[in-house]
This record gives sequence, structure tokens and C-alpha cells, in this order.
Amino acid sequence: MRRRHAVLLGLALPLVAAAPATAAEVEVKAVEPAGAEPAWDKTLVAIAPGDTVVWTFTGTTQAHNVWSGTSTNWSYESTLATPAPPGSFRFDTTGSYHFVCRVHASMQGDVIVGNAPPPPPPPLSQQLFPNDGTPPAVPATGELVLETGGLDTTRPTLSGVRVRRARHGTRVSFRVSELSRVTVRFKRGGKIVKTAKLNAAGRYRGTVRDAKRLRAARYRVDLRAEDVAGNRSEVHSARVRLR
Amino acid sequence: MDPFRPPADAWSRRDFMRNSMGSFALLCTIGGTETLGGKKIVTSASRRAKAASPFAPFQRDLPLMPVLSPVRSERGVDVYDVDIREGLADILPGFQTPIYGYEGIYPGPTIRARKGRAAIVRQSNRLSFDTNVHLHGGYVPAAHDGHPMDVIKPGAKFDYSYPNDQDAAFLWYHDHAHGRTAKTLYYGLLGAYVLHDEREQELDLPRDEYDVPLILADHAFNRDGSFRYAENVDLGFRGDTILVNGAVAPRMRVERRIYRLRFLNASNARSYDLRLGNGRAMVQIASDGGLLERAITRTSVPLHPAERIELLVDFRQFRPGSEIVLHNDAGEPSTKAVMRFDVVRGGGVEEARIPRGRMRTLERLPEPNASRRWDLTLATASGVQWQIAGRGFDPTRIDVRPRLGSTELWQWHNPSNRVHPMHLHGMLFRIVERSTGVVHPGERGWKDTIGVQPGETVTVQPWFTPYRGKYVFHCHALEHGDKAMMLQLEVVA
Repeated sequence: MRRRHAVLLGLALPLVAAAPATAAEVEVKAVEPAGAEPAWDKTLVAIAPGDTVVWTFTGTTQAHNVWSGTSTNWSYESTLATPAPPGSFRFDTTGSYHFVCRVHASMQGDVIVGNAPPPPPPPLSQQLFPNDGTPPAVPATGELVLETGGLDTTRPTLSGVRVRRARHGTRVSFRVSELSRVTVRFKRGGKIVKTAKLNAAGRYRGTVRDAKRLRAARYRVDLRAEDVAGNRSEVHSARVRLR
Repeated sequence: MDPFRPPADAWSRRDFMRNSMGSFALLCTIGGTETLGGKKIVTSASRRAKAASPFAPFQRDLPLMPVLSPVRSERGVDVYDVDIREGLADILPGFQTPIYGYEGIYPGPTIRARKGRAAIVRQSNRLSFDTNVHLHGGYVPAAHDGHPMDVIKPGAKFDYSYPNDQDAAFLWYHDHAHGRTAKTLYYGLLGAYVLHDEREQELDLPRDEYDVPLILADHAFNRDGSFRYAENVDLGFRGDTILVNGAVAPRMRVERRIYRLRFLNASNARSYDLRLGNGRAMVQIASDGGLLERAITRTSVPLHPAERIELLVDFRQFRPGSEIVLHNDAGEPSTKAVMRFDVVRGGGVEEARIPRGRMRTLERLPEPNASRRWDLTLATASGVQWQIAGRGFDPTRIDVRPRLGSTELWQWHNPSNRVHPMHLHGMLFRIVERSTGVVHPGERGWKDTIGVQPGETVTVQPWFTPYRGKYVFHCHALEHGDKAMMLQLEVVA
């Protein structure tokens, strides 16, 4: 029974005050708000002895009923169905009667008959701390921004490309605008005779080793950078004579 | 069995703190966090006041569960020691949330195991009620599977023995004591169990910090920051807040690399439809039972309770500084944001790769021995009970006795209007047919849980191997399983 007053204490006093003292029948509706727990439209009903409470389930899409639960001062259970037929109970004796849905623990309420005192406020550990779902990114509209920045379509750029013969290969130097894999191709007579791949970011200076000993000739060397997103730079060419 | 009580019950004192310390909290807000004798002091009240809203998404970095270290390793077996106990989790800024947890944390520590290397996990029950541990998706002997009636009494211990004799997969462990898993998992009794093997290494899949388990669960909160649970036997629990690894819709810094993101839906009953940014491609490599035969590119990934899915996301394609939101298109306004990836510079040269060819060859299954139909229905005649083939769980009854090593065709027929994530313990199955359309290639690998949609009939082919004994199969919408939507099978020789 600790959870019995879990729902909306704030409604208590106005409802008690507004309850029609002479009404013979009071309706309590089951509601299923989007994104929230199912509930009763009234969680506190004040009636006079002899009045009847009718619980209705029109438009609900889940299985519900109204049930006296673990109460010891009354016993009632209406038909469980989707949607359920209305349930009703006539309260003749002054007192506080707790009701709940057998399927949904969130659907709790109390009927106060006569001058019985309203139930005490529930502790904080039983009051809902709702997530209103407003994302902070654009509070004006409440829309979730799915992506900022987006795809990297910027090509890397190569500059200052220089190629020189070195003792054990070919010395290559260049500057590349971002982390890229740089392909170095040696061509002779239009044919690719050697390919090397280097990882570089910013200024690069290094030697492409020539283990296979390219024959002495004049070569065209093509360099092209490909960044991590797969964007490719333009091809930069230089010439070198190997001995 | 001792009665269950939520962890919040022990913490009513905090109500008093919150009510009576309100003016002090205000003071901290105005004074800020800077001074007080020149020292920086951060009080929970000031943190609470500073936060935009405790529920605002992307305010916290993604937490990672600690990896559990073995207490000893002997003769090829790693031995772990775990206390199942109460704890406090930092989930909402400025609040502490009472939980139940393995080692007192939520989610529990991650166990990383290797195929062919057995593990023994000694679980000590420091709670006031019975519990047990089920290794979900694991090939585990019946006595160690965490059958609902095999429980560890308060103060007692049990050594769960896991052979790890199956291909790499993203498994998880959780409480399975009969009749209250909706509450015990909700309050924190779950953790990731990542099983590795050599095949993953051969495929050069992302490793270490680029291989990230992500545990999704929806929750609701009380005003004192404790978890709020209200039983909903029909729909199952629905929270208004999405937690990933125990943080409200967090953000994760990612380098321009390929990441292996392992998603587990540990929600009580919520299904997700995950999408990345403006419909960016994600490459699915695995489902519940490990690698698929081939990687599959997807832009939308459904994930039902207890299912796992592993996605490779190539963050190299995004500009540094990009913020890419993973969102749940099946969510309400407050449960749409799941997490955000903040792309940062660096990361160096990628060594991992996205598999292009065949990752694995799935075993050919023996011809089915039998065909069975299981209707999934809600019975409301006396009280409320979810049933499979007109029956609710009865631990004294065996509902089906398949032969070890055989297969059968099982038809899950769902005339109800709820999704039923049907789970088979200790074994795996393959999906043969869906009445609603073709079986998606991402579902053609090994599975242990399948979301059966309202009005749908799904045929699966379980393979009753490798162990004999008593296991259960049940709906993993936890409120359904607790309300009897579970049957028992005994694999016989």
C-alpha cells in the first residue's frame, strides 16, 4: 500500500472542494496519455454516502479494470478486457476506499466517502519526476537536431611537391592539408613501374626506398593524397632522373 | 522466498534531506562552486542547480562499465568473484539513485571472455531476497543456466560455470529468479558478457577502445531521483527517459575511426528503431548469436527487448566537430534521443576494416523432427496472465521434450496486440519465415531472441544442442515473462 498515493497529489484539494455533494453518480475515466503511464482522470473522488462511482474505459487500447486491490475495507473487481466495460460501485459507508487497475500499477486512486480526511501527501520517493523531453539543442522548437557538421567532402590539398634522387631511393617532400594516405607512383613511358603509400599530415619529408633498383632513366612521379574520409586530392607530378 | 522490496525503500531519509535542505541548496546555487576558503567545492545541490535539466540529453559523457578482472586463473579457467548487492548510481546530476547491482553498480561490470577458455563466476547474494544469474545467449549446462527456480538464497553463493565453447558473441547476464525479473532488471541486475574469438581478429574488426558495449534501457524517476517503477502487465513498463550505460542520453567522443558498437536492449519492454543522424549508413556485422555470414549495410535498425546487434560505424566520413545523434524513431518526444557521437580530430591511421567478404559460414541444420505452434495470448478470465499455447509457466510441468542435437520448427503466432520478444535459453535458433515479409538479412544469423510483432507468425528453427536438461523459453517483455509467459523444455538424449 505504500504506493497508493503515488499519483498527483496536487489534484486532491480542488477535487475535494469541487465534488458535487448531491451527485448520485461520479464518473472516473481511464486515460492513456502518449508517452506516460496510464492513469485515471481523477485520482481522488469525494462523494456522499449512498453515491455511486462509475469507472469507464472508452477509447483505451490496453487491458484495464478497476479493482479494490489489497484494500481490506471493500472488495470489488470489474471485468478485465480491452476495452473494458464500465465498472460501478455504490459506497454507503463513510471512509476512504483505494482503487487500482489490476494490470497497471500507475492507475491508483481513492474514493473519499463523507467527511473522511483526504490521504496524506506521498513522499518524494513516490512522486513522479517527469521528463518533459525538451532537448536543449534548440529549445525554441523542441526539435532534435540530428546532425551538425556532417560529411567531410573537402578534398585534401598537396603543395610544395618535390622529388629528388637520394642514395637508396627517392627523396619525396610535400605538404598535405590533413591526415592522408599519399600514393606515390613512378611512371616511365606511361607505365606504372612502382607504387608507394605514405601516411602524412602537414609537412612530410622522407625517402621512398628502392629495393628493386629501378633502372636508370627519367621518371615521372605522381602524388595523390586521400584523406580518412576517402576524399582525394588532385594529382601532383614531378620528374626525377634515377641512376 | 523473502519478499522483494525496491532499493529506494532504504533511502527514505533522502526525502527529509531534500525537503529540509532546500534553502541550503539555493545558497549553493547563488554562491556558485568557486569559493569557500579558496577551494573548489561541488555540492550535489549546486550540480543539480547547474544542470539545464537532469533529463536534458547529451549533457554527460558516455560511461563505460569497468571490465571485471579474474580473481585467479588456473588450468585455463578464469575465476571471477561478484557480489550482488545494493548500491547508489549517479544517473541524474545532483541525485543518487538507489540500485541493485552486480558489484553494486549499474550496469554491472563487463566480463570479457575468450572462446575455448572457460570461466567460473562466483556470485554472492548480498541482497535480502533470492536471486540467480542467467547468461543470456550462452551455451551453458542446465544447472548453470539460471533456471527461474534455481536460486541463490540471501547470504549464499553459487559458482556459475561457463564453458565459453561457442563462437564470439555479445551475451549478457542478468537476474532470472521467478516472477520478478521486471523489477530486478529494472533496478539494475544486468551486465554485458563479451565473448571473443580468433575469427574476429582475422577479420581485423575494431578492438579495445573502439569496441564499445552500449546498454539501452528506458527508465522513469521519482522526485528524489530514485527509479520509478509502475507495473504495466499489458504493454510492459515504459519509461520516459533513455539511459545508455546508465547515463541519460549521453554523448560519446569518437575519433575518425571505425567503431564496433554493440547494442543491447536491456529495457523491460520497449522496442527501438535506431537511426544515425540524417539516415547515415551503419554496417551490421552480428546479431544475438555472433557474426552474420556477411556484413549488411542498414540505415534503420529495429531492436526488441533482450536482442543484441553489432554495428560498425565509420566515423571517418564525418568532419571533425560533427555531432551525430543516434535516435529512436519508435520513441515519444522524450525517448527519441538515444546518444550523440561527437567527432573529434585525430585517431591516426585506421588498422581495422569493414569486412567485405564472407565473415563466417553458418552450420547446416539437421532436418526438423517436429513442427509446433505456440499462440501468444493474454488471458483475463481470472486475474491476468500471458500464455503460450494456452498455458502459463508451471515449474512442475515439462512442456516439450526435444532430442539432443535435433531441430524443430516452432511457429510463434501472435494474435495479441503487443510485441513479444521470444527467448530460448541455453540454445540458439535461426529464423525461417516471417508472415509479414521476407526475413531481413540482418536476422539470418544465429538468434536467441526474436521480436514477434502483433498479428505476425514467425517460424524459427531451434537447434537443441549442446546440453541436455531443463531450460525455459519465454517472452522477454519482462512483465509478460513474470506473469507466466514462459514454458519449460527438457532436452533429452
